[in-house]
Amino acid sequence: MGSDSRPEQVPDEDGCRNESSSEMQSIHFKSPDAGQASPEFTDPLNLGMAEQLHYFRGLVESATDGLFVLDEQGRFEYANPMGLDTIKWPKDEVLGYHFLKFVSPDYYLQAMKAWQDAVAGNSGTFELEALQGDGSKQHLLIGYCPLKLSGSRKYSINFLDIGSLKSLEHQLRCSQEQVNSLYQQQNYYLHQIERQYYKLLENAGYIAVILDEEGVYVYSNPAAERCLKLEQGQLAGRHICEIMGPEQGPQRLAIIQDILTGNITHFEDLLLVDGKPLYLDIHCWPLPVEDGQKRKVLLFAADITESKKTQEALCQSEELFRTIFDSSKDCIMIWDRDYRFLYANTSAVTFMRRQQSQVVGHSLEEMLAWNPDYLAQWKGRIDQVFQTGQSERVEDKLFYEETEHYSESVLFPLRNGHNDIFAVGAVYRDVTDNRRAVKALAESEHRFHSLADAAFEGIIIHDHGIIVDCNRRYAELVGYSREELIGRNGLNLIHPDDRKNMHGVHQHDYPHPYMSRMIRRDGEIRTVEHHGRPVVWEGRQLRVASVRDITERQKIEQELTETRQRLQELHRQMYMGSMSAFLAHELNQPLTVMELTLSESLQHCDDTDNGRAIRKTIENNLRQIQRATDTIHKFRRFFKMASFDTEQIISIEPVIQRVKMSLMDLAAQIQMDIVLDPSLKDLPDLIFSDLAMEQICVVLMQNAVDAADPNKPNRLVISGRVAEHGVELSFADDCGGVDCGVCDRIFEPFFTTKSGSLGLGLEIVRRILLACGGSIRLVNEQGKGCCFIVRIPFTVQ
Amino acid sequence: MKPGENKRVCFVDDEADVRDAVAMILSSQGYAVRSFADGQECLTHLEQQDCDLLITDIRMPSMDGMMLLSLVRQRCPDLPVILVTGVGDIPMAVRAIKIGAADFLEKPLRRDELLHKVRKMTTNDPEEPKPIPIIHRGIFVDLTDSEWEVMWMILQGKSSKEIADFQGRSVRTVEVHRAHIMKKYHSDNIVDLVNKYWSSLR
Repeated sequence: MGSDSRPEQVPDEDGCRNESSSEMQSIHFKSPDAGQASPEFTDPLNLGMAEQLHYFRGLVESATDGLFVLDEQGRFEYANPMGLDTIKWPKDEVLGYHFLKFVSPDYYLQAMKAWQDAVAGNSGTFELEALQGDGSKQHLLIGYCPLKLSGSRKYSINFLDIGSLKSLEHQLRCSQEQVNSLYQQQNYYLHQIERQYYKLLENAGYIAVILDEEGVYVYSNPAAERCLKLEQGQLAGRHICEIMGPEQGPQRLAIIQDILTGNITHFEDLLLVDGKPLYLDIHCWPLPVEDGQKRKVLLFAADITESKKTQEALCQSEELFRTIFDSSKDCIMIWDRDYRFLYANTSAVTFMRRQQSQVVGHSLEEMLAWNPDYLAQWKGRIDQVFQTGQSERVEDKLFYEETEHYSESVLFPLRNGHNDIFAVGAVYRDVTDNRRAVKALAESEHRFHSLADAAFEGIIIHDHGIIVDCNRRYAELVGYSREELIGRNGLNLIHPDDRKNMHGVHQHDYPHPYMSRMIRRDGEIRTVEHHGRPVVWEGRQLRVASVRDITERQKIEQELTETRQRLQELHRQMYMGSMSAFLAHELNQPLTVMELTLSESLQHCDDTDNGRAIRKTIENNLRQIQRATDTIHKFRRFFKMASFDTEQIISIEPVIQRVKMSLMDLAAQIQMDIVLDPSLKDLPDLIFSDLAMEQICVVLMQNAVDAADPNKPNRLVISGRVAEHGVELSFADDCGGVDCGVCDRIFEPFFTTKSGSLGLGLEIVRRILLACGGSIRLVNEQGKGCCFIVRIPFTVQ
Repeated sequence: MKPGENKRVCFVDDEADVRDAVAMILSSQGYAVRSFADGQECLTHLEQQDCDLLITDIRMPSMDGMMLLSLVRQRCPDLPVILVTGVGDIPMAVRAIKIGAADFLEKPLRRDELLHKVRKMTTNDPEEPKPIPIIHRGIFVDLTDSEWEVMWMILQGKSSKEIADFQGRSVRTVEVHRAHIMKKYHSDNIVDLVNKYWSSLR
């Protein structure tokens, strides 16, 4: 600042030491760099002395540089405000003091040199470190020049604050040092890296070779030699045509030229090594050229033979999958985020009734424009899979082409190598037929269940006793609900004594009906008949069984058996009664004759010895007759014909039905059809005996069965009508009838035309009817059949 | 004068020896006896000639005694008919009396009993004891409730065992009641008892 060519005048600020001001006559400047004395000062403004003084004082006081004036001893005589402000010393501690007071001891030497130089009449600049009033230090660039004033020599100095400059200079120096250090480090590291690269190259799995522009191998790592089936060190120095052969070599030379020109940086190559393909993935660069050396290229090659094979396999696999996809009956589609079709297999294209080119690359919106709701639904699904990355299974029901269509789809994300979802795929299947089939199956199942539920028999499906399903009847049978039964072990419902047998049945798939006792929920024991067979259901070997509650049937059978036994007993009694009656009758007749004749003879015996002897004899005979009579009475009473309770109200048809049931087996054997005419149902109830009615029916129906010819079909028709005062039943058969010669005798006791028969059946019937006021008669048609007509009064007489 | 003078008796039985024996007994007492082997012959005879008494066996091959009785009852309502039956056939006896049989005779016939009943049926003897009234205005006379119940079942033709089973009593108890009933109505057998009962209703 003070060192430029601007003229300066140092005024006396407050009059203190103003003698110096008054002594200032002219100012001489010397350029700092020239080091020469300044030219003579002139008064360009043509001012008077006082005015000049005032002018210069103003300039100096307001200068922005620090300006000082030193006397001959080096003491400060003047300092302008900026100077004082810069060095941060008060004026009174500056003026009159030697300049060294304000110089850092490290810069004494420079300061003294400059002082000597100034004393010698030279101007110049130097740097020093000033000690400031606040204790801090500051770098200053000092300019100095001698002042040629009258009578004395003064020296002016000005300074520039170069603290920042110094700092920058220091930083620059540090930076240079750091750069140098870094440069050294870089060289070191480069060297290290070079070594490491070399090691890497030497140990690398990939191939590294350096070739010069003429195709000579400059460097090759062991991997390269291994790949080319060469021993270590055999590659370097050899020409590529020598290694690759005359066919492959020239092509590679051309490639080297392209690498050198930067046209190729990456390529794949196929070499034949020992006749086997070797795929290489090669990255290549031209190497920096050093003066006087040939240009070189560096090639890094990875053996991608396996990956190539894998890729080929993948391509084949992809092709295979594509073929599979295309031949799939399911529609397979892939969309990107914009719902654009990336792929659609043949089924999908066909389903959409378009060409492949009309689908792939086109938006889903085009395909589903006809149904905006459906389109929105699918777009939402695709968006969701993109967002969640989760597969989604959906079902749709659409109405088109005048029918309902059902479909099932699975949407799934497709991810790239970074595991990012780049597309969403869907497998769409039209399951309308399936649904219809399922619906039909469900309906069929429902019908089956309805049928099963409507069945009178319980039906159960079980897996070694564990109930898989059952119908309502079975549930009712055991007293549990169907839901309670499913999953339960059915064997637990069987009476403990029967479980072993039941287990055996399950084990051996016993095919025939078998009986067991079943314990109901309420503890009641029912007798049931099982009839099972194995079935396969959903791949499981199960067993289905019908379960019939035969408790009532057993009861009825038991009652029937008891009734039959009772009937047989009754029959026996009636036979015996009938026989005893017959015997009694047959004996009574001669006894009557003897009794009457002897009694009459007794009347004629006189009172002579002879007469008394005859009387005695007759009386003796009469006692024997009485004895015989008593015996007959006892005999008759013992075998008296059983009587019936004839005060029951009976329905005829059920009785006949019951008898028919008891004869069914026998009738089937001789091809006899026992027909109960509907008229039987219209007959009124009778006050009669159930057993007697049954006895009559048994005898008459049994007679027809006995008379039947087993070699031809036979028929017995039982009908009824209301007659006068009673009911008339007709038992008409076509079993050949009765021989006319014996027609009158068939009601006689012990008369029979059958071997092994007592001939008392019709006698019994006759006696029953005789006892109740009824009757029986025969309408016979020899050779064709006979008809017994039984009349029973409404009430027993 | 023999008790059977001027009395005509028809006797029907399919056994000739029995017919002869009965005819001999009755003839010895002065009865004019006509014997028939079956009911149809008897009916034919009765259409032509009067008769004071008809005795018929029940058990006959072609037309049994019950049938004959019912037919005779239609044609000759006043002709007394004695049925000859086997041992203790109570239901038949009950039914026969309901149809209109005058009395019963049990085989083998005894001379005295035969003559007694024939004489009783053919003679309007004022000395003949009137039938003991069993029922008066629908009420059994002199019978306890238990006896009445037993009596009613006897009339239904039930045996003592059946009555005992029905009433839940022992056979012995029923037999005791039965004996009391017999004693009260001077009957020695059920047929007679039933006969008296129906006679009291007429």
